Amino acid sequence: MNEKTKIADRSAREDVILIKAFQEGDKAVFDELVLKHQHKLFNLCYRLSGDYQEANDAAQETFMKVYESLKRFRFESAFSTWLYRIAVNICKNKLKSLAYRQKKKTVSLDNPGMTEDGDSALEIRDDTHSPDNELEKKERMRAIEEAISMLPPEQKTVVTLRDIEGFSYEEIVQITGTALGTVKSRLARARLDLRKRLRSVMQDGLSSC
Amino acid sequence: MDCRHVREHLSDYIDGGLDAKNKALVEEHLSVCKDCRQEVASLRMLIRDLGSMETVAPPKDFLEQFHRRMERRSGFSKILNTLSIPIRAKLPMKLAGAVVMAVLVFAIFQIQEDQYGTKITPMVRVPNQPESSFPEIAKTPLVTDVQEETSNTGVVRKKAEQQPQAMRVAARGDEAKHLPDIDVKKVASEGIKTDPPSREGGPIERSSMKMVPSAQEPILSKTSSPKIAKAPLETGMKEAEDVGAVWERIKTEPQNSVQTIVQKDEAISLSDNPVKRITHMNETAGHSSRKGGLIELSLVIERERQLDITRAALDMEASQVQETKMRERLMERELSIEDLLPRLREVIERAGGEVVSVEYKEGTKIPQSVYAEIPAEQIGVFQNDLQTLGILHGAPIAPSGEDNDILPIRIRFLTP
Repeated sequence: MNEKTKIADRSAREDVILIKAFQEGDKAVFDELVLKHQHKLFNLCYRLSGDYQEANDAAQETFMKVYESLKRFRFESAFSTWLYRIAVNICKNKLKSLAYRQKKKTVSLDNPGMTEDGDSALEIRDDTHSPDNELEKKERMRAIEEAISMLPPEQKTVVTLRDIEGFSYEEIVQITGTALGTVKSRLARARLDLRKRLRSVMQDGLSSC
Repeated sequence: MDCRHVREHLSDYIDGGLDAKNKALVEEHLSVCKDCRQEVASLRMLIRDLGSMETVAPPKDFLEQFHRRMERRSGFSKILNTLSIPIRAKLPMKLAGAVVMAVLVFAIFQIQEDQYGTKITPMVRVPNQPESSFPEIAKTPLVTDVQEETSNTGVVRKKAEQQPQAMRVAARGDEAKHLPDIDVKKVASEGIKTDPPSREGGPIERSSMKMVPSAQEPILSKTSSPKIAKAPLETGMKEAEDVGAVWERIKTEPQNSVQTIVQKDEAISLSDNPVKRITHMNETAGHSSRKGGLIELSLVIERERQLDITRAALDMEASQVQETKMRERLMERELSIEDLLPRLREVIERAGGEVVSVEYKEGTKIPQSVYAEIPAEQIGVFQNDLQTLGILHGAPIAPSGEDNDILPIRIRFLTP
């Protein structure tokens, strides 16, 4: 069992303890669940919606729905899987909204990573690169974001869950409710589509490697 | 395995999802195919870039926002629950239905008021069967009386007017079957002489202040005591569901104020009075019941007299104004009843009486009737003076036994 799996198991056990406390009447522990999962959930919502405010709304709505349903949670799946499944459905519904699509055309091209305070919410994972590489990577990331936003919703969901958020195939099957073969084929098509769209950027990246 | 088949499996190959056999075939192809190796490298780089994408932090007050939203939702839920409780209950829905019905009924009354230009009075369903509906009347001996045409609705009234005389007598006979004390033939011969069709000018509010069998009945019964008058009203209400009953307007005034005192012997011939009807009255209800009751008289103003009155009111002389113009002027003024009122006041005051109140036509300044109090000793003079204004209809008022009496009188204005 690798380190990542151990961390995931420990996290899942913590969730079980908090949820049982909640179900026994200690509603305050829900705040701990929110604080624990808000970053990953918010990121997922942001990647799926492509808009900061929409992501915030979707994440808030997800936690509200979870709060109302948590008393009936039967631990048949991991809490995180259940949480993200709800989030994916909420984001999917938002994407279906025509109003949302029209709004997205005007908003998503702006800087999506601005918080309500006006601060940049974007965090760079790897800060070991040189300034030149940093700029180049930023441009590549922006191009990737644009390419992802153009994917069909199902492909976007799978590639986000797998390649951005790092879920396993099994988790993706549970979150999306689709068969493993479907998940794999959608992921393969999404990757090929992205590679085609990012061919010029990827060539630069390859040549720079 | 060619390039096309290999590239289909490259995504799964990179994730380590291929079984051993397929993995070996893909690796065998990659060892000899530079393009496919390039493709693998490109995909690996894409996956690496996707995995290293910037994370977006949620707002710093994400938890506070969550709390605020939950509070708003709980408040909204409380409102919804509050609203949903009465919605689930059946009683408020019934209440809402009752309110809607009340509004509809009110609207219908308003429409009728506009149509007839008269004050709307409650609708009461009156049965056609005098014996069952008016038991106390049936037991009461009857005398003849004069009563005006009282229908508010022109249609019903016209039907009654067009009814042949023979049918009317027959109708009276039907009514009399339920009134065993009445000598039908005697009443018909003594009380009814002529009843030609005629129309009164303008809508006239029902003068009868009690229940009557039907607007279509040519003979309307009138009672001599408050007790008797009240009984049909209650009975009529109870019998509202009777088959064959008709709707009729009544005026809801205190029943004890309704008295018309006429003796059978004093019944007025209607040969010159197209708007009068003979009705039955208690033969014994004469002078004694007059003391506490209201005496009703009708004053019919002929057109020529209207001209005179109007001329006087307008301070014109016939020689100065052409007759046709005078008549046009008269029509414009909607008859001269308006001008008659000051003259009537003079007559009343001359008899030592006083005007108590004047009833005007709804929404106009046209008087319909005048309530006055006349000293009993002056009643003869008063009646004579009244006849100078128009043709007086109603039973002649016999001198009272006590001269100190004050007689309440209602004079109704009619036009031919």
